[in-house]
Amino acid sequence: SCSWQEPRAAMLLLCLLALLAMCRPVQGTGNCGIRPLTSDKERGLTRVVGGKSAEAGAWPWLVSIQDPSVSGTGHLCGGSLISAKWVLTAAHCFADAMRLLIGATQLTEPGPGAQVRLIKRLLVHKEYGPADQSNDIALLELNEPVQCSSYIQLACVPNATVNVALLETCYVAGWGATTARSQKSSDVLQEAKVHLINVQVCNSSEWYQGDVHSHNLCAGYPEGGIDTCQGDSGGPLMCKDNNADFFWVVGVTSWGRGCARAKRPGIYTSVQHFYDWILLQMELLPQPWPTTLPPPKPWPTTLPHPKPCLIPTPVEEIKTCPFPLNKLMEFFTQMQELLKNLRGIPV
Amino acid sequence: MLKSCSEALSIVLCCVPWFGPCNDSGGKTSSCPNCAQYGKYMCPRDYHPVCGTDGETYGNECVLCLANREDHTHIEIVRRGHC
Repeated sequence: SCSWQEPRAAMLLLCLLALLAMCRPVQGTGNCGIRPLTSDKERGLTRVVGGKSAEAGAWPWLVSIQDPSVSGTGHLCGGSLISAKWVLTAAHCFADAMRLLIGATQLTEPGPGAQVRLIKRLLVHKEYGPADQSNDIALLELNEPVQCSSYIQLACVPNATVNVALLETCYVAGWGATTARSQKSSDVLQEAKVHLINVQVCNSSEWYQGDVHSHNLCAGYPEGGIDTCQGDSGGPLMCKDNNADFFWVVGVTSWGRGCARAKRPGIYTSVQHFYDWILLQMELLPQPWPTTLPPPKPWPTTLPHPKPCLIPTPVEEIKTCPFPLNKLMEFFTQMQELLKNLRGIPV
Repeated sequence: MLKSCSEALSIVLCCVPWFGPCNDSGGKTSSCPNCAQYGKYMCPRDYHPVCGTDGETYGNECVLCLANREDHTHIEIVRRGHC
């Protein structure tokens, strides 16, 4: 805390420095997982099976992976944008030439905020097992980086320091089937709130009987009713950070027996488990924070343990995915208020 | 003898299609799903729809196989893509 016995200007500087120190770059909160067009308040009941239509820009890292040779939208799978040129998805999605639609909510009317990319490189996990869906993860490199906007943002990838099991507010989203029978992919992005379910519970005799891998996450409801379904593969299982207003992509939609059945929740590939694999593929070796990285990010200032960078984002990507203006404005307003208060304190 | 046995068998299978194996031969318009590859019916959630002989769209082949197994049916694939 600040003592006011020293000259005022020096103290002011010290306090400012303290404030800035609290606002050390927190990658998770600075450059990713933010929803500029969505308010913070809790969203209502949220298909997916049993969910509801998402509003435009609600999940700005969602990607629709499409086969242009198929009539209609050609939607096959989902994905998550984790850098300006990389999309995280499932290994089992791939067979043909693909087109990626980024920043859209309605596939038939993507709107001016959407961008289309092609795949430069497809990196499927070498140990992906189609028979048991083990290591169901893949990365796509875009032919050209995307420009971030209110409709296009990066997802946050959790490293080992994030306690995923404790995250409480989780959602799934995708353009998959909204009914378990007569399956048709959805034109409008669907979202639903889900709960993380302990993998041991998921593997018990009345549930999946040991078919769930230790590198999987289980999410949904024991009673069923709300779940991802065919067409949601590759898309994210996302959880809000417990301390701040941003989302982690903790899972990649993989498989399930039927959709939305009781004791048969959705199975997701744990993104945290493959953190190093992801960095390796992106040719970003895990290393300490480079000193040249972005200026201190203002939000949130109250994290007890600022989390380290999740995916070290190169500087040029910061430029293409700027920190949302409203958060920046919020920071400066707070600074202004602080200065006003400091001025008001008698020496 | 062997030949007539297999002929008799094929007649039986032909006449009791719901209990017979899926057979791709004979100029049918539908094709057999390859269900053996989905050993434990851990159906992946990609959308590669198939149109079943029951007129229903299945999100992918695995979902059709799962329906066959659980409902004891022998739905085949009319075509790739939705119905």
